Amino acid sequence: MKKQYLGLIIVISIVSLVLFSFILYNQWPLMVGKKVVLVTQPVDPFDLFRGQYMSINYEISRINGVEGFGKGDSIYIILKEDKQGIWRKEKVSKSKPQAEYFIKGKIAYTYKGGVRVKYGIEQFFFENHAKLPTRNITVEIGVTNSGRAKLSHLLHNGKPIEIEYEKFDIKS
Amino acid sequence: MLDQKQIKQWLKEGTINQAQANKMLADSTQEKSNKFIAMIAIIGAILIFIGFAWLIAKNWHQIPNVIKIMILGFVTLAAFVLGVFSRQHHQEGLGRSLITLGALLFILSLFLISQIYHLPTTTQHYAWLLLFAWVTILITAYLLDSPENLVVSMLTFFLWVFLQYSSSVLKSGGFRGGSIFGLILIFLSTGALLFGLSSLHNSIKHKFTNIYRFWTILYFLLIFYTLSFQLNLPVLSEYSLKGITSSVFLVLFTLSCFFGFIMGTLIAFNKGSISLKEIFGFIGVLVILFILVLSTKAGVGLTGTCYAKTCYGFKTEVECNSAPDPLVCEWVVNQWNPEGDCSPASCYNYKTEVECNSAVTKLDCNWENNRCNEQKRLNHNAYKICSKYNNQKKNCAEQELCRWSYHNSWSILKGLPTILWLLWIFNNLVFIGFIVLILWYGQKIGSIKIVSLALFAFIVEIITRYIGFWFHFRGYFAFSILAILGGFLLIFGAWFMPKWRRKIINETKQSEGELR
Repeated sequence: MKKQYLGLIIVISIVSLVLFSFILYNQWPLMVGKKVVLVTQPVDPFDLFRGQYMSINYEISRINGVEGFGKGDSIYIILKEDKQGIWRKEKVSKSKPQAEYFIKGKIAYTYKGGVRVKYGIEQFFFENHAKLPTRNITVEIGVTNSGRAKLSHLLHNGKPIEIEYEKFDIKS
Repeated sequence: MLDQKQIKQWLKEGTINQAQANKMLADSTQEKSNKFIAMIAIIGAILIFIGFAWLIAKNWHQIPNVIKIMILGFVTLAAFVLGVFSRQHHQEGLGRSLITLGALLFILSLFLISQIYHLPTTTQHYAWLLLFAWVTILITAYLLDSPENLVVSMLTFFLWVFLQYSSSVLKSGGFRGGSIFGLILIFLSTGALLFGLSSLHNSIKHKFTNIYRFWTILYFLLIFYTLSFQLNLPVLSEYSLKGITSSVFLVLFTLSCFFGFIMGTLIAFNKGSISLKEIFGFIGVLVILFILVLSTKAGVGLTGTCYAKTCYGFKTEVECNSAPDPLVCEWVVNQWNPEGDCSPASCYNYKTEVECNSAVTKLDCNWENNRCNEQKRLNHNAYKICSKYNNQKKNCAEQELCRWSYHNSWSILKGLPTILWLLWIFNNLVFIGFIVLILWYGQKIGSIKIVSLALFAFIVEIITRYIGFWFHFRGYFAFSILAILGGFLLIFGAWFMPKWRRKIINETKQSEGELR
């Protein structure tokens, strides 16, 4: 009997630890990271397990004029804020830069004279059947000192986005 | 488990007295009832899992994220706690289902967290989630003595292996050549690991022995069953040894599985719970499977479709501009495609008379009614040119215009090459041979479940081949012959199968009794 309870305590500890660590790992960039706003080009598909989401392309998703990168390589984009408060690419580096503001990505593929980069912040999940504007969208993200980014929220014309939700219906 | 008929027989023979018979009958009824309750409760757990999964997919904005996580986290932990307490209070069925519910809700919690933090929707990300899931659930299975959680963990493990390998394969350009061979290695090494674990658990008389044994057999039956399909042979025949070591996951996984197999069988052998004959028997099964897969090479390139290339397939400007006749492609650079893209050229793309008249001569454009019109369609001829080389890989590959694809295996329904017919018949004979082997093994160890599984596999094989013949031989005559044959088969089966099953199960029970 005691063995079962001891097993239960260990199970609860492990399950809680895994869930808590997973939350903390994802929350960390939003808790301690620097806030950065990026320009987007969105579309919206559906994910079987997690519902409707918007797939987001960023201005910095395609980087032209860089060479020497291969598929799967890490890339660091050094960011600089413009007058509108948008953070844009200033420089590109293969190794971790000394600059204060930068974001780390992985090369998805290369093309003649450029690279396609993924940062892990290319999707935004929202309620099924909800409507939201798809133009003039910017995204506020949190970035850690290592360049790891997490999506915080969407902005529309620089203000928090207003999502139009479907009225609650038991059949929805 | 004892049945009432057996107990009454023993009572009649005087092997047991009335009091013993009553006790045995009561135990037998109780055991059946417990199993039934557990089954119903587990269906309930699965329904709750589906309900929560839909709620997560709906992603209600009214519930704040923190509350969502707290609800699911709390329900997950509560399910584990209540499950253990129910078991302590002799509610075995309820307890087991609650513990399983805890495991299923844990998987959903991981998906909920990844939804809240907008984590990627890539195959690799799903593989990570499933890795966390199967490892944690496996731990709960052992600590809480839950066979159901072990099954959930195994299913999650299989899915993880496939997704993780797919992720590494997709990065290197899809399932072809070396990737197919890699997949074969993964399947075989997973089977070896299952056998190793099964032997290890048997050697220490662990409660999970029968589960591992059952799943090992089911796993190999499924592999043999997969090989018994004509459609799969051309796909497998495309395997190649080139590029198989490019995946780190493949190397690590295969080595770990064979390490698990060697350790498991070695420990079991040292403890005397497995004989050399059994080990070599299993290695023999692995070798036969490997030979069956390798032999598909004899039919490589004999079935498949020869498609015409399309402009979208050319990735560089040079390739695009020199597309083979009759394709007419152009390299388009615009605000949506800043890096450029190869698209089919069309007269309708030209908006002015000057542009229209200066279009490439192959297009043969003509300015009329204020628009640029096409005089004749060129690209549709490409399809006709290439389709002549269907089922001729070598000739297809020699055409600059064409590309070979083994994927459209439906073309084999029009006529399977003799070598593939022979291979297919051989594979089916081997499959039936394996079923017979499992029947023998089930009887030897006195396991009714394994015997029933083998019988079920035999019925599935017969039904599958019958449906296969329907696909192959269409037309009035074949339809009538197959319908009559099918009818006779069912009538014969209705008479023979229950008799056969009863006989085998009785023999198995006898050997189960002897083993006790």
